Amino acid sequence: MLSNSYRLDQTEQKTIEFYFNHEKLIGYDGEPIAASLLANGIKTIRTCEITGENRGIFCGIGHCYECRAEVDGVPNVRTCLTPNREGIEVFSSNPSLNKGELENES
Amino acid sequence: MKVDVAIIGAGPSGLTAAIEMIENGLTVAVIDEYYRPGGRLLGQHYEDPKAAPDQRVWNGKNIADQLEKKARGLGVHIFTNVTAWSVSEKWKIHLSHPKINMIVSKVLLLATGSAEKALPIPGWTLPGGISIGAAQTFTNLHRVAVGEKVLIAGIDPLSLSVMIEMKNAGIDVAGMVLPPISPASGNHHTPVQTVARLKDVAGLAPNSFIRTFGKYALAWFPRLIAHALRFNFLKVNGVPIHLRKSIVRIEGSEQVEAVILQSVSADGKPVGQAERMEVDAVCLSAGLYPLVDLAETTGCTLVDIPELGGVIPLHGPDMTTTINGLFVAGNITGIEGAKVAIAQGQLAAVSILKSLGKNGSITVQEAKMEMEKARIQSPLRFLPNIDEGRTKLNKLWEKEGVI
Amino acid sequence: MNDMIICRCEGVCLSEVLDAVEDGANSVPGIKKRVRVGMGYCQGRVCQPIVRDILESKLGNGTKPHLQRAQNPVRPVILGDIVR
Repeated sequence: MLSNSYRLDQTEQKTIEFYFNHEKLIGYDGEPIAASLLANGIKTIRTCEITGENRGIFCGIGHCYECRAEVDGVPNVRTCLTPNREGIEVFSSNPSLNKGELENES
Repeated sequence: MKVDVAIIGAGPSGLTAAIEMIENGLTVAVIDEYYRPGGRLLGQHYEDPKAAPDQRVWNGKNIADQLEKKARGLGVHIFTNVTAWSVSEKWKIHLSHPKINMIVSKVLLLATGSAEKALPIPGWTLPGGISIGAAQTFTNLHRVAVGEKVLIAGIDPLSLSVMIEMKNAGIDVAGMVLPPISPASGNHHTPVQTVARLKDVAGLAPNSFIRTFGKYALAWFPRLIAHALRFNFLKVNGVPIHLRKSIVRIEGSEQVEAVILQSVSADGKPVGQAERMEVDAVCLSAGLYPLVDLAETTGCTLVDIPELGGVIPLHGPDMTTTINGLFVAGNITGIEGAKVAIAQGQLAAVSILKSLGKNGSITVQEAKMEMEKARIQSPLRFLPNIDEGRTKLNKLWEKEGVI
Repeated sequence: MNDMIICRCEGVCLSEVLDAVEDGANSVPGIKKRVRVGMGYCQGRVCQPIVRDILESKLGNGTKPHLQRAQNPVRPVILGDIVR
């Protein structure tokens, strides 16, 4: 089963480390968080609060709110238009995606 | 914060308007939710065979950067990553900004552009299912491939140009197919209707086509596409455009894994077997519509003109609306693309300057002519009946709009 | 097809929208009141064109149904933004 999303080129941009559901990832400083996630092969950003299904980027420009996540403690931030920075902590609101919470439960 | 003019939207029309107004003595603030100015220009990168040889490559990001640099250099206040969540009175613009929570202005220019019409397909909510605009932005602006193997559903001028951009970026585009034939996706996507719309893309025939067939073949492009109906598909840039296949559903447990496709007759009836194709991303294209949410809250009159893309603020030939001090420019007035948006930005600016007792760098009449010129020079025709739409609009304005 | 999602924000599927039309809804606000389309984060930006298309094809005769009109705030805001 193929599945990948990846960077098209390596550029001179400054790289940064950030966290998605406790996982350390590399991104570019200033690019939207959603772009960093997609570049790391991550398509699922959250789950639908009503149906439980996986959701990710849809419109890419801030109209649909499908890409929303908790960023540095602020909930429902649109990752498609929020610049990524060194040390940012991003969390899906659903604990089943948020690996850290599950660990705490046991 | 107090300015003469507040502009919502830092796309091509908003930035152009800002530059024209600040150059002629007004104070201007531009507000945009996105993290950088440029609007939809940011994702655009294609070759325009209609343009002069030295203007053939349209790099939207460069154009956006130039506009931003000029605007900032002249003293325009540009707020990015700031949401104008409400406008009231004349004019208080409420912002989601840590320090400046409101801008007060004499005039408001709405340049909020357009949004994408969604194309619903069973399974479309799976991660990997994205809009064609998102595909364009991620490919050209963020430089990230949205999938290993990508299918495009919806064959129209925009999706065709994005397919070319993705292929040029080295992404494996498995093909383009028709949308589902269903009540939820409208009933104008049969092969015959799709082909009729594709003639509008003749202005954007890929360079590779011209190199292969010569520039005189540009005139044959529409007829070639019509003939392609008989041969089931057309290949552009090596990507099959399946004019006789429609997507039925998207499959996958955690994210997009495959699609089911169905062959259809020229008038859209299913024929033959369904087939399964493994892909991990599907880009959905169903057109654009003007983004009028803020406009609706101002109380200005709006009208529904399908030829222009849907509901738009009723406006006059000089970009005024039914509310004094409220102007519009860009795709909010009808889907016409960046070149027209830029000309409309300048036209709105010159009108605003006039309304505040100042002169612009050109007259309103000259700005109107520039807009007509831009209309003719647009490489991409998003909507086939723009001229009818504009005629309808002008008739409505004459009847209902003049203040 | 009937369990296809129409309103992504509220998880409303096609069969619910069609039921609302059966129930007598002949406008987008009418469907919104019955099944919550357009009440989520996107305020109909994604689903309204779809619901409109469904209504127009169901009502037939070139009928133009009434559409949902945006209200303030046009984007979700936190209380702090309003109170300040």
